[in-house]
Amino acid sequence: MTTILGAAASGLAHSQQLVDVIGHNVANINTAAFKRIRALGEGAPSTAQEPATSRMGVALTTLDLIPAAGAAVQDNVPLHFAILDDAFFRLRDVDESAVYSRFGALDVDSAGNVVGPGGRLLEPPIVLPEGSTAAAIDTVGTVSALNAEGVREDLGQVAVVRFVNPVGLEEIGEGLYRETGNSGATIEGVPGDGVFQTLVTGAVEGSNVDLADEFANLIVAQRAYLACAKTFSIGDEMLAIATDLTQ
Amino acid sequence: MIKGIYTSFTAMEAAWQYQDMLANNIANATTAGFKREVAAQQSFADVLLSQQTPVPAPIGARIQAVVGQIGTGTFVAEFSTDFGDGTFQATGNELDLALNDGFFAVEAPDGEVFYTRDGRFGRDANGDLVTSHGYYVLDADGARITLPAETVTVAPDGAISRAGESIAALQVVDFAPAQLTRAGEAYFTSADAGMLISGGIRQGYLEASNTSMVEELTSLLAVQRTFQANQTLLATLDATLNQAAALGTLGA
Repeated sequence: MTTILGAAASGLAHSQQLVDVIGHNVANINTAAFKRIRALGEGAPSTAQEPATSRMGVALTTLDLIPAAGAAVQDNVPLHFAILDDAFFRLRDVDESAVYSRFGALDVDSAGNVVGPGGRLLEPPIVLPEGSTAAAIDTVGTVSALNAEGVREDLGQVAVVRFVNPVGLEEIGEGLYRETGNSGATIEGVPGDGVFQTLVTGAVEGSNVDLADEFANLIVAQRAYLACAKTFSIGDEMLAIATDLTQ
Repeated sequence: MIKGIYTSFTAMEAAWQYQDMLANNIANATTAGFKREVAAQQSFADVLLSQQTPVPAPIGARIQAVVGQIGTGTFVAEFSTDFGDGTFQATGNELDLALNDGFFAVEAPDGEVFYTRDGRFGRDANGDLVTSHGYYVLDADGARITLPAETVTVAPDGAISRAGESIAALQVVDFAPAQLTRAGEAYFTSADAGMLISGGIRQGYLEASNTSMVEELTSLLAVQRTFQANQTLLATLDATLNQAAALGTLGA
């Protein structure tokens, strides 16, 4: 009896989720290395005996992480870099486990360690000797600095990693990702070695959110919401008619 | 008169089933690869009415004279699927695929094969090409497809390659609409083998739902009014019956 209300309600909930996801994406339009989320209605397969009588409206809303690269945004800081392909660089988390990131805004901490997001060390770590200044990174990921005598010295190279299924990585915030059973095997290398592209230096990867796309989706979600609300009220009216059949 | 009540009831029941289907179509307006349902209403066979014993006639004659024909209402004859194309939306994702004709073949973990136009594919941990629920997408020989970690190109005829090197060929099968059974909103099963076709795959696109919002909403309004009209008729018949039942009361 309440399939029309159920289907309309699922449509309303789904449209609400679409709008929530759009809000999340648009809020992060300037977040470095942000990966947008796409929400779509899911038509899951089912082998119910009588599929024509088991309509469920929108069964669920799937959220897919879109790992496409954002454009590199110049900031002219010599130690910053942007990754152009689908690779990540590795960092060491506070509990010694490996985390991955694309947010290449490196810095030097008070101990001379080259650190990434949240002050985490690179894996393997790169350390500036005492008295070094003007740290920089080049397009193949080599970090160098002027030593105490004023001579530029190479200190190490940032390694990069490619995952078979980057969508399977677990997002843990601060632009960091952790490996899971779903992310698959890794391919290791360094930028510019033929397997991986060179880096863009003096820049950071921008957000991959496309504002025009998000607003188009917002309009669609709004109209879908209105249509489902109309369906809901019509179903409600019909139920009222049915219950008032005999005066 | 009781017949009239049942006729109205059949119309309301048919309207109810119809709006059931319309609501589902509307709710799935943004489901990728969704194919909407349409319904065909049909009237029940006309019933021949005959009198029991026509007058005058010998008592033992029991001749049945035909009085006339009456319709006994309507019912929803069948729900069928509209396989018209949804619009293609450009998404730019490597493994979003859209089809012009035919369906992708996907295999559930238990081996059952489904057919779908929902081309949102990805890689699983092994690099196999899977749907968003982890069902394996099949190649032309019915085997699973394993992709390298790097970006691949999908040609319109289903050939998957990377840097000129061929990796696999996607299976695209076409069916006559009658051969497909709905199994969920965007998935179908078939007892027949289907015809392998090639051509028309677009990488970086998704086929949207083919729900026609205008059609569904106007049908919904028409159904609502039909429901209301039949309810009025039923109420009138009920009131008339009431009157008839009151005929025998004394001093009414």
